[in-house]
Amino acid sequence: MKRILKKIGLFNIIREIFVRLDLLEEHKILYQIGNRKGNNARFDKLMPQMIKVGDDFGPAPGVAIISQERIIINGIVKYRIEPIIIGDNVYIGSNAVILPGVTIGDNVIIGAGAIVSENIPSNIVVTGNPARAVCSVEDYMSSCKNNRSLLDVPLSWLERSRKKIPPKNKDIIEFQEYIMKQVKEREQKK
Amino acid sequence: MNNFFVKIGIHNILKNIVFKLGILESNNVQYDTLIPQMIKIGKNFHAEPGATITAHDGSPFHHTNKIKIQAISIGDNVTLGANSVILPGVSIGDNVIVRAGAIVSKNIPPNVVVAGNPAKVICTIQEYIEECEKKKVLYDVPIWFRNKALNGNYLSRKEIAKFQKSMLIKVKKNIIK
Repeated sequence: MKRILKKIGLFNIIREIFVRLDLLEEHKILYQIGNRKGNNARFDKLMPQMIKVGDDFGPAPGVAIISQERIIINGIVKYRIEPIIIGDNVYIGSNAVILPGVTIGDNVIIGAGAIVSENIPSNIVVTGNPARAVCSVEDYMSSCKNNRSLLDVPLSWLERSRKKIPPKNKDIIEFQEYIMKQVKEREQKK
Repeated sequence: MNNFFVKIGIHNILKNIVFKLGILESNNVQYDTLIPQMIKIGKNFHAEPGATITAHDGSPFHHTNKIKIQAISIGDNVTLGANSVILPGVSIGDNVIVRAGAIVSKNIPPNVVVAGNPAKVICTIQEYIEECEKKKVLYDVPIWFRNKALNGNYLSRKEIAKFQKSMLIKVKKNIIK
């Protein structure tokens, strides 16, 4: 019995090694990306080589970046493949979709649920289906200041994000406490 | 056909499929989990991530203790774009492209391209293909890949790498021109 158990243990270990190796292969980055390698955007898996992303890329969950499309005409399969280029300092809201053949400039904010089908110049805020320019980034920032919805972030959080270390539970609790203090102060002023 | 939508239900429960052909993530389409039997799908179905197909509407439940259920039928050669939603009671014809982010609430005739919220007909499929061919962005696929695509098989990682190699050569040639 002991021998059989040992054999099963060995078998499991070997299988786990193979599974881990497979997972490693799956997480190979085939698209070009700047300094933010870990993010929760869903990149195209069939043709990821066509995607280029700049530095400080910030997508919200559910974002899809698609560089390929399948078309069937009378039983003939064809693929529409076009490159996607995204500039530096781009933020993308949740559930937004970026379609093949789109180039996005620097310092762009894309609203939640936007469907980007045409090129976007730099320094612009864009929303809607299909995506259209709403205002410049400066206007958006000034309106946020008027709302008093812009809050300071703890210094440790800034340092950690500069070093590109993912946040731990401790950091998140510290962040929440720091911000709730500011919110209470703001309410008392009113 | 009967087997096909039973399979969908099983897929949804087990969620153990690694890769469906042309599909970018493990479970691309979020099928209705409550009554997947109401969904009928034709040949050569293809979807991008985040597409959802719902055959029931739970909103009247708290008011009347009843659930709204309507059948969905999708024809042959249909592709759903990313984050598109198909609502209960919709029937889609053959050879239809639903573009990303479209919310389909009414029936769609065959041979058209549809987009927007609510979904509206933009153009016919032939016009769309002519536009793509003007831009020179349409590419032929290797024969082994085509056979797999039309039989609805799953692709292994090695096959995807092989596909990418063959396509990248074509794309680079086209861009240099």
